[in-house]
Amino acid sequence: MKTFITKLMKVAFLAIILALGLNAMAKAQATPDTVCAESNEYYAVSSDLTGSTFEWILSGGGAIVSGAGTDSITIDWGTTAGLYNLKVVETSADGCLGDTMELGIQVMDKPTGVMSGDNTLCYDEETDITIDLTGASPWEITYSKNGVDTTVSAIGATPYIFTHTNSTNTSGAPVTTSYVMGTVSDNGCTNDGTGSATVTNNPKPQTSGIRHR
Amino acid sequence: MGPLYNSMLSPKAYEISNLPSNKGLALQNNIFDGNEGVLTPTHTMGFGNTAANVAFLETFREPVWTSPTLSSNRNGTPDQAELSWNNADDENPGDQYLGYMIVRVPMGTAFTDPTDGTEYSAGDFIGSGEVLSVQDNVATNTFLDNTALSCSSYDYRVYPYKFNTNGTTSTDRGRAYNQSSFASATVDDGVTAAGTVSGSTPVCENEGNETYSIPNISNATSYTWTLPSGVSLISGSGTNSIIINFTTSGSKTITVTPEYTCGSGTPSDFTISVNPKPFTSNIIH
Repeated sequence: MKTFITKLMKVAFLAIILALGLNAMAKAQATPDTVCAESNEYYAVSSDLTGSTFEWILSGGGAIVSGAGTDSITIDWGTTAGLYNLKVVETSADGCLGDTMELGIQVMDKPTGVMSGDNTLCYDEETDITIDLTGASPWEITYSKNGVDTTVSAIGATPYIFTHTNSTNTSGAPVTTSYVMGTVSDNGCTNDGTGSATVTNNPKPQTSGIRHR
Repeated sequence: MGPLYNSMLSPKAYEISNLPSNKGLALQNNIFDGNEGVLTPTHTMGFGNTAANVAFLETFREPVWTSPTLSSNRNGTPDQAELSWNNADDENPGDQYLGYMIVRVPMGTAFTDPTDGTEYSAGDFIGSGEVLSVQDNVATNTFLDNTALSCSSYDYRVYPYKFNTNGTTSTDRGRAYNQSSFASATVDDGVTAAGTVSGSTPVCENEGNETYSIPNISNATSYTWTLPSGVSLISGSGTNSIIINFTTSGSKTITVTPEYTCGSGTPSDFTISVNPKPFTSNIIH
């Protein structure tokens, strides 16, 4: 459903652009595009003529994986972040050239999140679970605690630290809590996090009352 | 002709009109010796002042001009015409009696042949023809007509003649013109049509500058290019070659007119098919 809506929006946008005659404007588009590394992205133009061919030119990185020569292409941006440039020149069936349309594209590194904090505690002690983040704030992360997912948004700084607490372990046996890193997102880029933390709270010794002999 | 002409008995050859109708004229080979060349064509003289006799005898005096050629040039101005011609054949250059007479008529007007024995001067008229110059034994075969032509067109003739001083004695010779072999040329107003326009078609709208030109015309003073809407002039105004750009598509006809001091030449058109430039949208992600 999301894919269909996205395509519908793109078609509508193209129609609006043609209607406004934006193609007669300056060749370079003012606002650069932003994409995530390791992503495949779709780019397209439209024309007032039929039968044209299109030459797409990438500079700096990325690779056209499909659509070369047509009015739409898919680019694999690879793993290297940076500011790249995408151009397209239309040649009509009569051999006439259109303006060179140009789009700057900022390829962003995917964020990372690494969880750590293994610890063994006494029955009522606390410990910090640390998630080291890379990328740009604000981040959004997910992790699970004993299989239950938790989402934390609007993280403004790295590392992100939260406290493991445990009620007094009176079970007589150690209690283990397992934290597993989920995903990390920043500025629209999402990546799988790594790491986990296992915290063990040992039981409180159960001492009998003082006996008087 | 030549020194031996004086030794001829009267009436002399050129004075055939004075020959009594009952008399004949004997030509003696020893009179027309090596200095006079060979008498051709041969002719048997009869009695009387027949046209055949006159024509034959005139061949002794008229210079021959085997391949008369007259070149004309407006000389870059509307008021002058420069004429030059090749040498007539002079079978006896030693006598130094070869001359040329330049006659002019308005273009298309008939010439009247000069009369043998008549000594014309510049300013005389022979029919409609005005005698511009009489050049006795000149070294250069050129003449500059600078009599305020004012863009008018004229036909010119250069008549060759043999001459000696006209007189009243039996040794007179007068001028003998060649009325059948002369040089002729026309000097027009110099206004000619534009040549064929060369340049590309079809072309693309707004894809750069295209050059269109016609062959250069040496006496043209400028060229007027007329461009339709959707065609802009980049450079070359007034010259025979322009650079233009097409700002809209469609069929475009450009026109060039050569301009002269004496007027405008016939223009030349060229139609260019301008294919539309594709309008490409911004890149959509």
